[in-house]
Amino acid sequence: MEEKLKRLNALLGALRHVNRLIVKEKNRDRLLQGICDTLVNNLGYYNVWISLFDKHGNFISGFESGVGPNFSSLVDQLGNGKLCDCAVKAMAQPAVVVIENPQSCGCCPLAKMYGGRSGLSARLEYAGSIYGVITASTPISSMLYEDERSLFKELADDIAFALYRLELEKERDKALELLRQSEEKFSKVFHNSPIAMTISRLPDGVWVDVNESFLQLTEYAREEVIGHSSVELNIFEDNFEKHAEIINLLRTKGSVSNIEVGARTKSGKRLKFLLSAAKVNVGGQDYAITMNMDITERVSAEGALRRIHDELEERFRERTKELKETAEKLQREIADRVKAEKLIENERKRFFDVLEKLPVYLVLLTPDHHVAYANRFFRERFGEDHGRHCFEYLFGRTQPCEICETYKVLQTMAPLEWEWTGPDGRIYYIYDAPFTDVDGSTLILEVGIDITERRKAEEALRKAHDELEMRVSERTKELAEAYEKLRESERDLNRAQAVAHIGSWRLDLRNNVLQWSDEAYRIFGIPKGTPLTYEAFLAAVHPQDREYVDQKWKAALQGKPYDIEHRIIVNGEVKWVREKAELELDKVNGTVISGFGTVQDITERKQAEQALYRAKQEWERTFDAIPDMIAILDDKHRIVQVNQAMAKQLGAAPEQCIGLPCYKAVHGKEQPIECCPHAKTLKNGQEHIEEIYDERFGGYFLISTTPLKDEKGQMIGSVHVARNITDLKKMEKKLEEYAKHLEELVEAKTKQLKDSERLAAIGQTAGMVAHDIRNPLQSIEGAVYLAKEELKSLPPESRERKELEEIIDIIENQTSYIDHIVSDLQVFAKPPLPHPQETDIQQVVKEALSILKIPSNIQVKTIIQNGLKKQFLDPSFLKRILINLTENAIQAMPKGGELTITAFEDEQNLHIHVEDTGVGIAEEDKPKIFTPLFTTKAKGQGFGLAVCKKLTETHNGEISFESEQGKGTIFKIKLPKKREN
Amino acid sequence: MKMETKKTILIIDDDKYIQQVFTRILRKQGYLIDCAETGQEAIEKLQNKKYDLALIDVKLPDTNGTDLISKMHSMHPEMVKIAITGFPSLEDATKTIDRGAAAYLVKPVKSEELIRIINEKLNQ
Repeated sequence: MEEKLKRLNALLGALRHVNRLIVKEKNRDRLLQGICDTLVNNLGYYNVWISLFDKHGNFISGFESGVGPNFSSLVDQLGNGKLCDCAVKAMAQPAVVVIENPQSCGCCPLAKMYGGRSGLSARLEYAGSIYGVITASTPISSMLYEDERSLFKELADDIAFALYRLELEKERDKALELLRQSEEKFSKVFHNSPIAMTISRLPDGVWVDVNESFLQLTEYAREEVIGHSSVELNIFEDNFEKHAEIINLLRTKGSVSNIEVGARTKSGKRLKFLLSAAKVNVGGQDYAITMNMDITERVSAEGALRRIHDELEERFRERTKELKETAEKLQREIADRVKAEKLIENERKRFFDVLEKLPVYLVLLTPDHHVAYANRFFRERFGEDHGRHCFEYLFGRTQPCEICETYKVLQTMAPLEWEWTGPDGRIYYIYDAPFTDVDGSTLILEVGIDITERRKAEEALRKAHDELEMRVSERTKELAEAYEKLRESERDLNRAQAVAHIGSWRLDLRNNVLQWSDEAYRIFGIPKGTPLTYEAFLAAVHPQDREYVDQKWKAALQGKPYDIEHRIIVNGEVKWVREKAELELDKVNGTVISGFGTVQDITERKQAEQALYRAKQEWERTFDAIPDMIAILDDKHRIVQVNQAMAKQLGAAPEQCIGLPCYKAVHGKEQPIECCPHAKTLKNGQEHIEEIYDERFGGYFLISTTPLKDEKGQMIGSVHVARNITDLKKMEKKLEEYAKHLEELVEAKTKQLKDSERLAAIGQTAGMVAHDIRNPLQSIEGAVYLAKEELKSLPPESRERKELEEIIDIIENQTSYIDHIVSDLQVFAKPPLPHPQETDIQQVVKEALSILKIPSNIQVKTIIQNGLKKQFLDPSFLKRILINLTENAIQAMPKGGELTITAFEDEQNLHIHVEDTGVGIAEEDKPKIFTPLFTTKAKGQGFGLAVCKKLTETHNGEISFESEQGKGTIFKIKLPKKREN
Repeated sequence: MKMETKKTILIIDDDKYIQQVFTRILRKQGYLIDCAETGQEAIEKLQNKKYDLALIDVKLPDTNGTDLISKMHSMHPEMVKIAITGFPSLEDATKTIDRGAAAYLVKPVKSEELIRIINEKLNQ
């Protein structure tokens, strides 16, 4: 038993090994050899061999393990068609053939090797096909086990299945190769054809492939065409109709030929096609192979085209046939595969069941808005599409929906999630994703989940949440407001107390609690929170008021009112407070239960009152002390108040005057006097001052009225101040007279002084000097004359005479200079009256220059206006002026220079300018040069320019000058022209 | 006879130098010269003697020349009276001429000028 079990286990192990080989090994020879080796090595078989036969029983090949060199003889025998007994038996029956005594097999070349052994043989059969025989040589003991036989059978079946599978694969490869070759052929024809050819999917007409001719003809690029249909690109005229017709024909007849269609190129060029098409089925999908012959220029090339067409048609038919055959082969194979894929099919079915039962919708949408697949949920919700576009049957539209997000997926090729409200008014959560169909075309997979209820629930929940949130926030706000109000009112109370300087306190005798407000603490200058007692309070009270306060408080405790003003001492300073209290008394025994009181800081008020009182007293005293008469008048001229001085003037007591009209009381008149300043002030609100002579009082008064305004600025009268200025007036008059007299006196004296001054300073001197000098001058003059006469007696060429003549010249010169100075002096002292006459200016200039000795380093220029008329003036005056100015000019140019005398006239005046290029006049000297006795020269007394001025003025003329130091000076004489009359 | 043909001139001036100089100059011209220092002296001389010409300094110690000229003019209207002054004024000049003076000369008068004027006046 144990041995048996061991044996069976070994068998099973070998089988598993074989099975693994079968699954793994795709090469038939290696597989069979491997099986042989496995059985010999693992099962203890003496040997194993397998021979393969074809359908007709012809030996193909053999494999062995453990047989050795003798196997070739067996192979030879089998190759000659002579099968040994065991093989014949095995081939004839499905069961395993057991050979008890192999040595009895006479025909077997191996028989003599099998002494003491048994043999097992089984045919290799699967699905009715026999592929060969497997034979094993085993020890006899093993024969005991039936199980081994059945396992051997199973082994044979497995080998047969493996062979079947390998054969099938080989066939399929062959078919695929055929198909590939056919496709290649077709592809060559297709792509190289001069005819425009296309392959399109049916029924939507989407192009799967097109050839170069087609692209050239239609001007499209390959990628623009593949995956699109002629409808989309709008290539054919009568697009839909033609398309539908062709597809219909293809469906019903399988092919169409020579349909003339109009077409458009990409750029819009019109073409005419002769269209032929055939339907082919590849892999269960219908395709249309279409040839579009360009017959646009058919007229000219009809014959040639026809031939080519026919030829192509013929070739096309052949190819189609070939393709059909290939397809059929493929079909067959696919049928086989269908069998194998049944399980998968079931799986798929299950999958579809799942899809169908999904509580969400799932659709596949084509790029042209068709529903390629829709699950039950979708169909139930939105109905069947019947080939319509999604927008057509969902929304009854003719165009895609603007709000549709689905088709964005085709652009982005990325999943998209969004929300959609369906035609049923429900909200869907949409998941869109690009989906590549089995045929490679791109679709959109759309999953829609009805979230309407969830939305509603969410909405309700949110609403409830919001409401709750709102109520909470309202409550919070109310609470905060209430709290803030409370705080506010507390703050207000404190602020109010601080502002009004009112503190408060509360007394609760039942609980023995006394509370002070913040302000109360502040008023008493006690740190906030200090425990309070009546004694502490009393200690703060001013010592002089303590008894009074204590008395009042005690009375209050007896039910008397408590409202007192007293002083307290805070930090050494006296403060005034007003205290009020309301005490609640026990109705039975009359004792105090509780109380509320206020304490107000009235220091400021008290101080103000005292200051006011003092100010009033001061003011009244001052008012009465003023010596001026003051009356305060109202706007009706009534006296409001008078001071003592005024009352005295009016001869009445101040009180008696009040209320009387001022004009009556003062002037004794029935209405205001004409010049009343109070009336004026009332009129214009200005202060007025008048000097009035009052007959009644027999004197002068200076009255001022100053407007008096109330606190609103409204004028209510004036302050009328009168001052008796009678004495002042008298004094003033006297003073005026005296001043006048004094003025006259001063004037006279001044004149005298001026005259005498002039006489003294110049006139007298000049007169004296002139006379006193002129006499000696006259003597000298005469003496010189006489000397000159005497000289004549000397020989003319004698040295003595010459020398003396020179000396006499000097004397003469200097004498004439002295005379000149004397003349100036004289003119100044007593200005001569001019003797005007018709005067030739040029002549005067000449004479003046001839008198002066001009140094040789000075150039003289005289510029006399052409045709300058004779002027009516005193020539001696002009001469003197010119001499003086020229002399100055010469002295100003000690180093030489240029002297220019210019004379010209205009309508009114004669102008004479004397200009030098000399040292110029210093700025500080300029104002003084015409002053007599002013000189900057070593020589001369300073009368020269003063004389020029004087002489010019006697002619009503003007003299002026311009000078710059270092550059020179110009004197300008302007003389008004005089008429001869 | 010859002596009688010589014209006589009275020089009235308080300045001794002027007297000397004028005397010399005019003598050279062939005139007979007499001098007076004061107005008084001049009047006395005129009372005793007749002169053809009087040269009168306007400013004299005892009188002013203008008044003297008036007096001399009343005494000897035919005598040529020439006023000479060191302190001239138009007013003075006019007044002098009005009182009978034939000329009004201002010191220092040029000797030639003086000679010319005197010659002129005496030969008219």
